[in-house]
Amino acid sequence: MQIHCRSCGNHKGFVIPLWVRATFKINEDGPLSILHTKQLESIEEKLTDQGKTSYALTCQECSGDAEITFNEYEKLNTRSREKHALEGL
Amino acid sequence: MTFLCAECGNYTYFECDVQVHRSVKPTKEGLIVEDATFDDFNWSDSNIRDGLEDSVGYALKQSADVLQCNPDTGHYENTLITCARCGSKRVTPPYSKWSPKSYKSVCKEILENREEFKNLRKEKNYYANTLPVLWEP
Repeated sequence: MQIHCRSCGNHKGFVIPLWVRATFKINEDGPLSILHTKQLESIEEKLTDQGKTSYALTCQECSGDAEITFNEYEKLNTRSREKHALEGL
Repeated sequence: MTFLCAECGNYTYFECDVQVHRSVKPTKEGLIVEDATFDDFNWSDSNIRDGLEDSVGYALKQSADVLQCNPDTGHYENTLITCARCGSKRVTPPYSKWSPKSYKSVCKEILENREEFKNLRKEKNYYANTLPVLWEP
């Protein structure tokens, strides 16, 4: 899997927004206490939707949209297959 | 008491949905998902705390805006805060500051506080009435 930013080419750090359900306690005197957090969204689903229905994953450096290549060898396989086919002809 | 659940009477434990930004780092072994940090600042932690405080503050201040009538039950439900004990969305501030019995118009309140304001005006310094001082080297 390869991820790179479409704007700046960064391939190291990205940011993804996720909804979480926080259980909290209201204290009579003082700030709120957080007791528990539960993730509501699947990171896998968001990543597979990236570029199709949404651009949730963004570059940590420039906030540009990230592009995910799940199988970077796919192109190589296609090229070699095409090459073999041409050779066969 | 900030919020009260109309179903179970809980006024301490509640739930709220907040959006958190997490860091995704691709490595040879796979993706590492962790808290988004910038130098020493933990952005993910800050997202949870700020989001929670924003939602609670908004639900308190604009309580009528966050309440939505559910036509099935006929009850008003809170769109932001949920009771953590019974899961009900019938969470509201337990009282309203406005009450028809204790309502007092602003004019009436100003008239009642007239003497206090007069005293305050006597104490006030009117710098605007003093002449400007010429600058001297």
